Amino acid sequence: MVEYREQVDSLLAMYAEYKQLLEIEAKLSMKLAKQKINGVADSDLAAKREQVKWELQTLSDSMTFSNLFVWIMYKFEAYKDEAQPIRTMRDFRIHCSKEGDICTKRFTFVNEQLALGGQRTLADADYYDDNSLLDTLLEERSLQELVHDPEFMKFWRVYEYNTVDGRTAKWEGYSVTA
Amino acid sequence: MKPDLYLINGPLGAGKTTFLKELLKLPQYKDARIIENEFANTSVDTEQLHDHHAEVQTIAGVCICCSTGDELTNALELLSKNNTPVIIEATGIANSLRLIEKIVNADMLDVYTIRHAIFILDAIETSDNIEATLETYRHELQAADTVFVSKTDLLDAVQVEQLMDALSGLDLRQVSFANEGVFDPSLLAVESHILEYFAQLDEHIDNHEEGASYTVIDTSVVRLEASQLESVWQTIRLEYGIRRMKGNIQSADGKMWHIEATPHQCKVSSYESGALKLVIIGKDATLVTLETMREAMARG
Repeated sequence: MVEYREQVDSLLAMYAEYKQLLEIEAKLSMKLAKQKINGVADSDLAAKREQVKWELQTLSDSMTFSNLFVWIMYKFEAYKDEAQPIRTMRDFRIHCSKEGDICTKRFTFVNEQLALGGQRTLADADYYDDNSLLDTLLEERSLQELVHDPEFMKFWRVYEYNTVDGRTAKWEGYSVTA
Repeated sequence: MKPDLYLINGPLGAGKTTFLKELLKLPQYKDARIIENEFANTSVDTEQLHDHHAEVQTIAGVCICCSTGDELTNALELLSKNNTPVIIEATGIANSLRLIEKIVNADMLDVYTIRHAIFILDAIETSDNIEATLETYRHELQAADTVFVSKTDLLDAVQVEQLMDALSGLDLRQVSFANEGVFDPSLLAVESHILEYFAQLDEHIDNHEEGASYTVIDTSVVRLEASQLESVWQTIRLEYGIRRMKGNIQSADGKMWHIEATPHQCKVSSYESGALKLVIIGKDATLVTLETMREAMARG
């Protein structure tokens, strides 16, 4: 997966920046809330907080995955030192089970396509053992075939880079029955 | 007139949902809307509130006090239309004061009146190390309009006295008991001071259990005896730094059991229906699997 290394590194750097911005936003928010309660909200502080929130949103919007391997590699590496790592298939399934969440949609889409092709899905714990490391998926032939399938990739890009009225709307148009 | 907003917070397993269930039995809260926040991305507490006829909004998989998303604002806006009280039950890792920040910055004080902030303190867990626990929660205890101490019925009189003595030295607004969720409702009439407390606080506010993770175990694929789970609870708790386990299992005879476990307790009660899963929260919760639990059971 050398070909994706640069993309994943770039995403990891963006995530590090995102976390730094979160800390700044949290401090500004605390200060602003206190001012609001005291009826002396400083408009400069409010504007600064809005700017940081905009930067957070912009950064988040720009964190897209060009294909499912970039997504998997990023998830595996970005959270490895965090309280809630995505280390194993089990961690990944739990991460991708939050109703309405973007990763749940990506996961469901991949599984739909695997099932359509007669392949075992990522939800299949008999095939993809709960305790197997997530990065072992990178060697999986059925997933490599999907990444090289123009039809699959066409839809992946449609959902991943989706916008609505100029607004980033990743996977918004996708539903399980789509 | 703005609807009233109530906050219920307290450590994992302190008895927040038990308290809420008792609160909802009171006539003035029978139509209250609930925002139930669950740290794990699946909720077993929502099922416990299924008897409540009014709306329950569950926000799962994110702690609303540290999320940058709009989940809380959206839920508050939605529920404000009914002009009935709204009660927020926080996650157990949430910080009440960070929750206040979210409410204020979302301009929800234009929509709601914060009526009362409740903090549930688990007497058993606190008694382990009174000084350290009270220091951890000092600001939230002081910010709360009422601190309800739960599970004092499981301590002896001397332990309860020691705990209440320690609490009396903290300059708290009101302290009372809420064993099995039963409390004195008249205490909720006291006007809230949490906004004033928050506004004057000059210290950094951290979340509790910053390093906590969660896992969800599918128990539909296995038959487990409640006694096995009770016996293994202390082992997995110590090995993986677990603070909380809750959910449902089915035993070999087909009966369903609801499990509620905190470090000192593992309560099992019969249950009629509900998703067969266990939510486990703690330091290395992601390492706990059905296999690790089975291994611990085998080791005895």
